[in-house]
Amino acid sequence: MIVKVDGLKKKYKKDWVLKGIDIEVEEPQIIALVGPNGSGKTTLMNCMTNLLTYDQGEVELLGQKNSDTKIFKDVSYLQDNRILYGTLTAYDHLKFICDVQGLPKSKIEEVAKRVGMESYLKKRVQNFSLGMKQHLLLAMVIINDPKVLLMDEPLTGLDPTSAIDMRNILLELREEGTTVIVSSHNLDEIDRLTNKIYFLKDGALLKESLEQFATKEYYLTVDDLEKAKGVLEEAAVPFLIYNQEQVTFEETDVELQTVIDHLNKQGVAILDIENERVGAEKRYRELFEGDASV
Amino acid sequence: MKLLVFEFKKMFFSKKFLVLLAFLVALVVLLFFRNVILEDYVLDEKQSNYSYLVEVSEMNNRTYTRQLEQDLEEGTEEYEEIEMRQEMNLDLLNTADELHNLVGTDEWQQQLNVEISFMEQVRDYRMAEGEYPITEEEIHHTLALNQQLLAQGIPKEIENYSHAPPNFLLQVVNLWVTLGALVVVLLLIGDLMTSEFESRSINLLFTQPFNRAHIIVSKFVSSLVIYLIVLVAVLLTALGVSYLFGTEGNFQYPVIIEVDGVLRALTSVDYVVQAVGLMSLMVVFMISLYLLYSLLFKQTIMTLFALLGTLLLGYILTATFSMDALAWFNPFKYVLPEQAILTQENERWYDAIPVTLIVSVVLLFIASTKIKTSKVD
Repeated sequence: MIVKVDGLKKKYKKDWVLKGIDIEVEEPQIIALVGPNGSGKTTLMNCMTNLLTYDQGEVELLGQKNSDTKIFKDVSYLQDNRILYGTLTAYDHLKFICDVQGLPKSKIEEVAKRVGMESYLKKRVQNFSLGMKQHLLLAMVIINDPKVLLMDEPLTGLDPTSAIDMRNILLELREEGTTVIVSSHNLDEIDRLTNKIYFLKDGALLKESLEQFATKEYYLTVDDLEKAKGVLEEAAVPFLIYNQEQVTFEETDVELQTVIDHLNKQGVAILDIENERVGAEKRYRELFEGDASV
Repeated sequence: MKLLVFEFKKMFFSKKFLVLLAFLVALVVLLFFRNVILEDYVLDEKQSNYSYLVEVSEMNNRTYTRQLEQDLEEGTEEYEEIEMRQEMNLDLLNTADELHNLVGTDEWQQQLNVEISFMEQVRDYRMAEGEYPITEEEIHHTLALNQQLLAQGIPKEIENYSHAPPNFLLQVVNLWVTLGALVVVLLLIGDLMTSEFESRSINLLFTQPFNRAHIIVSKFVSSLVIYLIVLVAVLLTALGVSYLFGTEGNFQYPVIIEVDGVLRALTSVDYVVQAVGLMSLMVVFMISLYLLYSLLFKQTIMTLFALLGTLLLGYILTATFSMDALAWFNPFKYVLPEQAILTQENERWYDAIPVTLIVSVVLLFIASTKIKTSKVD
């Protein structure tokens, strides 16, 4: 078993933050952990890595108890950037990891190239932007080619290009046999990363495969937007106008072909059709609609 | 070892360490030039002090004259006593005047001899129930010091205003062991471990594949090395600046200590070695205690409060209940090591060295055990 969390419970003051979490991962995959702020995502990861005490339950990573620090030879945990030391350079951080992991120094250049941080490798962390710190954190957790990678909000502070790079690295890691458990608020990115999504709601885990919720959102570019609006309103098709230039609708509301037929019949030319999978966000809205923190 | 290098780098490159180091070096240099600048002023003060003693003697003389002429009858025992005191007082007056005239001259041996005569006269005068503004302790100390200086052929330096290397070094070491080192160490290590919990950077260390006890050992060793760097920098600055801009000195310069009521002399080198050694031992104890407290409280203010409270309480108890039998078991006697060297009453300066080392090792062991199960909440 790669990851085994059995009946994990944690109380904070009088409230149960985690109410008996069970996770079993047998094959390398990417699992997304999703929930509103304060739902316990970070707490769960901190308990799994034995950073926090918990009241009940057991955690095994790669068949070993999480109290054994040797597991961190093959388990990495990307945490928030407060773990970095401002007065040291990125190189110092990576060298430290190499030293304690028994890795050759050549891994530093290698991983810096992989995450695109060669240009500021020798600079002090106190001068880093949020995105640069995220790059360093990523480099620190993948330098040892871990078998299990826990990531807490890895996309925080990343610009779109870096977010895409991060996503590609995670997909590569999955291909290389790494199990990734990632928490994120970026539901679009989660949609692109995995189908396996665990929602954390009121201290309990709802494990779901997005396949059953996945839906496509279509974006049609037409030659006459006003005319298209009139046609679809008349045909009682639920739609929205996106960015003042596209007609958008979900496939669960109406089939693409029906919309095309309505528009074509009235002489509206369709210039382009784009679509996006929106399973995570859709399911998230269903589960957490009305929650103050959503 | 790998973790040690990382810990050392964290401390060495911290702004706090570099600023503190620069500040201390500047402070030592300023202290030296303060001594140089105030040299004439101190000599003037010394002369004024002798002038004051001359005035005291003159006043005493007038009182005695009045008593002899008006109040007492010639031939009585009391009359003879006052007459004798007046004579002694006149000797004191003359010697104080001679000392006043010798201040600032090159006749250092004569100064020492005259000062010895003066102190002996004061002692005799006090024994004859005369009142004079010099304490018994001052008399004994000056006599012992001057005799040592004469025996070794070393000119006397003005205490705390010297610019000869051995004496300036003594001054710096005295400041260092009298709370200076404690303050510096508290500033250096005050958040060594607690800041890791407060900023959550401890999470990085706790999620690496090594025995967590290494964190304690590496933090202990690196902070000790940082302390030694600061100490060496301070001592070298003191020596360097006084060699470059000061006057010639002698490292055999005596430091007077009291052992079982008897005054003895240590060379300034021996005193520096003992004082710095004991202070460093106290620092070892402090760091060990800090590391344990930091794991218990995980918060800087609470940890420092507990550490200072323990040291203060220990020292107060030591000073209040001086039990000779406990000297071997009391590490708190080194909170102010200067006292442990200068006054050794039925105990020796080295008595508590083994217990301080043992207690430090035990504290480190407990901290190393505690960190293995330590969590960040």
